[in-house]
Amino acid sequence: MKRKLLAFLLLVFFAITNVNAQNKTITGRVVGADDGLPLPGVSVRLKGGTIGTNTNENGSFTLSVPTDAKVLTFTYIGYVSQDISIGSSSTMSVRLVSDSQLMAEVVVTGYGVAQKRDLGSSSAFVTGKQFENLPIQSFDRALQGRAAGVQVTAQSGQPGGAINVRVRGVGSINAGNDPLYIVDGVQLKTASISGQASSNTLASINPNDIENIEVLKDAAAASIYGAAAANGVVLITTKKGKSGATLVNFSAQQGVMQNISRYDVMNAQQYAQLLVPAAVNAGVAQASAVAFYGDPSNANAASTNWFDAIVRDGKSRIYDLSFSGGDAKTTFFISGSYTDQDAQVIKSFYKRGTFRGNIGHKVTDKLSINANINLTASKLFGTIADGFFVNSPFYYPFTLRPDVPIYQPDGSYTQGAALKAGFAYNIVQGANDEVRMGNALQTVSNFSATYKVTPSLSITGFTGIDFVDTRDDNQRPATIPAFAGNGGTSSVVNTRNLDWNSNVAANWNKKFGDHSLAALVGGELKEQNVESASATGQGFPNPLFRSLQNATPLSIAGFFTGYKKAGVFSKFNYDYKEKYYIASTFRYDGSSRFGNAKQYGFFGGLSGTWRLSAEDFLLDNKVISDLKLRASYGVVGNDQISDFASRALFGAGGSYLGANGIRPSQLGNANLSWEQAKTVNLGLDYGLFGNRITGSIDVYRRINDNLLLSRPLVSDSGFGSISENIGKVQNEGIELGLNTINLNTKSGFNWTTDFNISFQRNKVLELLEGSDRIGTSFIVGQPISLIWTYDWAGVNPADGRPMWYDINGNYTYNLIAARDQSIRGNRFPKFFGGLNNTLSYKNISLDFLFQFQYGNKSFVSMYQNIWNSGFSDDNQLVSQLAEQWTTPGQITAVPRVLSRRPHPNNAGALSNSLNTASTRYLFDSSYIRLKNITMSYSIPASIASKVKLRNVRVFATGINVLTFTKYPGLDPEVPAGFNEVGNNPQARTYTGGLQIGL
Amino acid sequence: MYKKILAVSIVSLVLASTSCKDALDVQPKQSLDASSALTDFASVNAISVSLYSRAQSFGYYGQRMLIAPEVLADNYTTTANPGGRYVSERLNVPGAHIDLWGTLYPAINEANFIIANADRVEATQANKDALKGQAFFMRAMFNHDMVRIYGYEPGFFVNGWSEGIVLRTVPTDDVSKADFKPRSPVADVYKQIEDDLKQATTLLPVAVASAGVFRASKGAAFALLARVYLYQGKWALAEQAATDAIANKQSSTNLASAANYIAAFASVPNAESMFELDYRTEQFSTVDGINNSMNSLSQKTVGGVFSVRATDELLNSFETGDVRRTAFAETPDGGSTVSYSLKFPAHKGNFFNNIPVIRLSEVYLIRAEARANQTGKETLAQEDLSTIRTRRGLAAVPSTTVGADLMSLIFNERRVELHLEGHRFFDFKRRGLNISKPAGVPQLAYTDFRVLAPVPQAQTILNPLIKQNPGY
Repeated sequence: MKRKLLAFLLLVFFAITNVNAQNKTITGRVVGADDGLPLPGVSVRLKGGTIGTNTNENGSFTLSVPTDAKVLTFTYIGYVSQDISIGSSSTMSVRLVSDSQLMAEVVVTGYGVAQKRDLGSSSAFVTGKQFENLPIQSFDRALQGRAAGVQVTAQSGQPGGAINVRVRGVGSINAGNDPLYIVDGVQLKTASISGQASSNTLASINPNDIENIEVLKDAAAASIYGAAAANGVVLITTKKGKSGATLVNFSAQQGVMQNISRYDVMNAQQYAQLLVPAAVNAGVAQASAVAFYGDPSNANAASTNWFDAIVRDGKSRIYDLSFSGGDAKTTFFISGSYTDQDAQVIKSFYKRGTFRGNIGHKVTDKLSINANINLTASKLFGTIADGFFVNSPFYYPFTLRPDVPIYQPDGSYTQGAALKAGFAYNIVQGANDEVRMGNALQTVSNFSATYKVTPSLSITGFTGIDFVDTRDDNQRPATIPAFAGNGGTSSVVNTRNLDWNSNVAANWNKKFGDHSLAALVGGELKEQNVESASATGQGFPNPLFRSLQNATPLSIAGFFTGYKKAGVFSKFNYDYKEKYYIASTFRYDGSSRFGNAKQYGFFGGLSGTWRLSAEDFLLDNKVISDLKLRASYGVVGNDQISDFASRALFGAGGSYLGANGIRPSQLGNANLSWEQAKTVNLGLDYGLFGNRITGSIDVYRRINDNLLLSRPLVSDSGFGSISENIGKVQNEGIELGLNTINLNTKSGFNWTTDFNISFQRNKVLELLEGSDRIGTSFIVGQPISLIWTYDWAGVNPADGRPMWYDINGNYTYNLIAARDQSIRGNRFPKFFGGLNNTLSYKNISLDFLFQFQYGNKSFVSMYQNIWNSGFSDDNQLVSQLAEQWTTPGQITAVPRVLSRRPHPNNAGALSNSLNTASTRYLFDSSYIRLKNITMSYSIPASIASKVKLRNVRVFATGINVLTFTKYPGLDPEVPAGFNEVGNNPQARTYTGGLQIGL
Repeated sequence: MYKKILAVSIVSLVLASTSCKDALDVQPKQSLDASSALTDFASVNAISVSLYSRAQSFGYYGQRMLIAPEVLADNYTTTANPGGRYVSERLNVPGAHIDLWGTLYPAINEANFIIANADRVEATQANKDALKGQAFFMRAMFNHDMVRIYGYEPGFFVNGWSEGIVLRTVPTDDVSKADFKPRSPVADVYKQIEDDLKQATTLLPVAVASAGVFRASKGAAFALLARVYLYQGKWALAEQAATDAIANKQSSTNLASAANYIAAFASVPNAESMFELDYRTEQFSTVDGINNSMNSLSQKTVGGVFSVRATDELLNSFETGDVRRTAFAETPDGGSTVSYSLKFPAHKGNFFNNIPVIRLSEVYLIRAEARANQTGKETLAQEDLSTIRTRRGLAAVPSTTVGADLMSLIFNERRVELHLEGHRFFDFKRRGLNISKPAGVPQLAYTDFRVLAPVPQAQTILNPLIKQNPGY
């Protein structure tokens, strides 16, 4: 009754004031808060009145309002409505926050409820908008350069290939270091899903279906996930429909994928010019060296570039269609996509179709149900991921001799001895004739129901599955001479991975005056099973037969592994006046992976936040608009070891005379339990000058204790190691985030910058009892990522011989492993980060992201083959022709050419090889890379609306456009910062596309 | 209110069910808990399969144990395109040797499991004996192959260095048994090997069918015992063991005639095999064959990785008329013509062939050497040597060839008979001789530290009781 009265009075008041009003004109501009792009068609209304207008295509509006008008309301689909006081100004600059950013304020815990974010914890947030329509296959690539403290490196240039994600460094020596991925509450298994090529299980989710990604970095936030959370948690939320008109989005893009780097190896004449003297220096007669390597003086020698024959410009096509909408009771988001990419290596491709249906329905006022269903079918034709194999396209073509043609005059492949190679394998034929195919059918789906017992208490039941069914095909037909003898080989591997988790949680929220309380309590079960069966056959009557039906059975194999987990959890949040916050988490978790005596463990976290900017002394501060201090501590677990690591086992023990053997495969440890990660985090969130400058600073120390270490056993015991909880590793770091609005002019020019940088260092604190090292891999006091090798001393100017330093720093030709090897570098960068800029002017926008890392070293093992002064018969880097040592006194980095052929005059027996692994082959792999650049143009809304379209946008995107590095290998990013052995480098992708909204 | 109760009970139900142990029960389908693996004869017997499977590995008799002793000495050298394989061994680069530490100790542990459990399970005594006998034989072979790599032979210690290998005779069934142990002296290791082989000779039956040579047998045990005595210079015992070996051989194991010499290497089993490892295509893929088989590395084939060829020195040590000299083929290689052995034809498919570990001809040569070293037995030695030579297209040994001449003839006979079967390097080493190398590569002095292989560095770092060999 009171309210009605009030409303009536207000109405009267406005009616009266309206009569007396003088009008004034307000002009302004509305942009999206996340990207600074103008928002056309935003409704601008006087609050409580009828006056209103819409913004034009530049996001600008002009509205005449009474002089005493107080508040304007801005509403726009997909964005949070905002009320803005008019005050005395006549111009307004408005930034609307998209719903998805609003999502940033809540966390979908995976337990059916969206909880207010633990302000005290450290997390990184990326919205789907930031990577919308990028031609990437999996969302983990979208985190690259965008999330402070999260290091993302692509492990392969194969589309759909594996990605390495490390949240705040590496804390485990033997257990896994992958974060826990949770898609709409479904916990995913992370592993390559194909044995035939690098493939990423996370590619089952279409990146365009993702609303946002949040990375929980510290233990307090992650501890609700207990024993699985030590390496951080990545929460992925897919798009949901909103009630209102159905929105249709369609996008299509097409482009090319190109190889970006190669080794500059010799042509036939250059090869002869280097290899003939190398053989002669080794004592081979000039004539027979020429007969074998070719005539150095023959400028017209026919020459083959093997690598050119193996790479191409691949095509990339991506189509995406989605519908979203709903009414008051039911909302939906339905999407489909198709990706078809031909990769840079001939024959290789990646094809994927995805479907998603996210549906929410209110059955009654109290009961709501929700289903997120996804189905993905993918098929890839791959290349071997890496390694010095004859079928590795980024190794073998560079080493094959340039004086050997790919084809014989009759058009057949050059084969056998004519290849003049150690392995008589024509890689062009191999790439064309061999089949390496991976097929996968995946779903990450869930169903949940929430019942509101009282307005403040709700209960949610949730079940989710992560299902992967793969089939790998490998065919080596008899057309390849090596396989002719057995009539060709074909093998098939079928693998089924079923992973489900199920939970029930009760969620309670209540506000008592200035005190807000929230509590969550629940329980969870999880099970994972992986089972595979494979068969190999040989002896196909004709190479065109490829089905096992046409083969003679050769072998069969099977594989099984699985584990179960069970846990209960609770969470308690409290805040006072939204000024002081406390959150605590507690979890009791058990896993079948651990020893009978210690299957269960406790985990938990505590965090506190003080919002200083809400205090009186900062309330009116002109500079500081937002300031929060955070502190947290938590303990979480790592269970990423093999499923039966705690058991004493007898496993398969080879076969002999047709009988299958068994052998002891593992010693048991009934006390095997969690690896613990304890993290202390201190953070500061700031906003300056009306949040024109925002960001955060985090400092952390994570100590991984009771490491799941493979404690080495004396191998004379018959076992190499046993899994035990020993050892300690520390990671420390500082993360800085800085987001600025550099320009936001009336004319419509907008420039924002997002920058993040993470400094990390890592140290092994404890290892075995009574020993400060494990072999040469891990040493107490040293980083987990040390590089242990010989030290290169260069070329002796007197005779051109390669020299190394012994451990005392003296020159030596005779290295002894136990004496002369030492720590020579670090595989991890000192710092890494990203810099994103968005520039827009009216309807045009430009977005570009630089990604960088500094201070890490990698071996380019490839150089041992192709930068060895003719030591091997592999093709060689051209640069050696000019740089080789030829005359006494010459100072150069390339030793005198010398073949390793046996001959009386060849080097003394004690001489080390020209290509001994040493710091000669170790290079700084710091780099800065222009990772993405996107230019887009939106057709003015006024024009689009004429053809009944909500929006039309054309865009052009480049990926891996530019790289600045001194690293001489193919890709400083790919070898995960350590060793390049024929790794598939990332491709440069250019695509252009069109996005239409209805 | 009713609903609240329902809600609370659902939550409690979940809590209750998760705290239950059964919730975490998963059985590894492809492995057995150790407690259930050793309860019946079939299971313990299945461990013996693993012993032979281990012996077949490429780091051992599948490849390295046969090729490295040839390349470390003077019988074989690398080809023009060896892909880097055996180049370091050819140059005797420090550490380029044979490393069996990691391969054979697991196998020894498995043999220990058999020896400790064979008597505990239900089976006939004959079956139990045969099983244990094989375990003793294999353990002895493993220990001997290791001790001749990591240690000097008795009587030829350099600077008194007598460290052998770590002896393990008890199965490691618990981590507490994986304790730190020092290397036993060479003499103790040989004592253990002799004891094991004596056990094996009593427990094992004579191989019945020709396929019996694919597993350890009485004849094989005596033959290996003869070799072990030979390495210690126990001439009389070596002679006796060789005689016992010949007496207890499988009945169809006989010296091949000159006409059948080459064919013997392509027959299954080799007619002369006392002990032979059988390879089957289902055990290894074609890629395994290409990358690692004896055939692929030692012969010029389409698709293979021809890596080692005969040295001129080896080829020149054949006498005219020797049928064994015809068991080589020639091929162009790096601008010249080279020869390769035909001993390992791919007669089992996929680049594979069986590997004879001990042939009857070696037994005769052991006996010849053992007799030649005993006074008054030179005639018998000549007889043994002639037995081989006359079956290889050569004349019998003239009775005038005695003393050092006879000895050098025996060693040359071993060279041309057993090349590429893993003997050459050890034939120098066991006699304290400098290791001969092909022209152009300096001889390796017997006293040079590189004669012994280094114990894996990780082991000496881990276990301070294990002393590293000098020089490493």
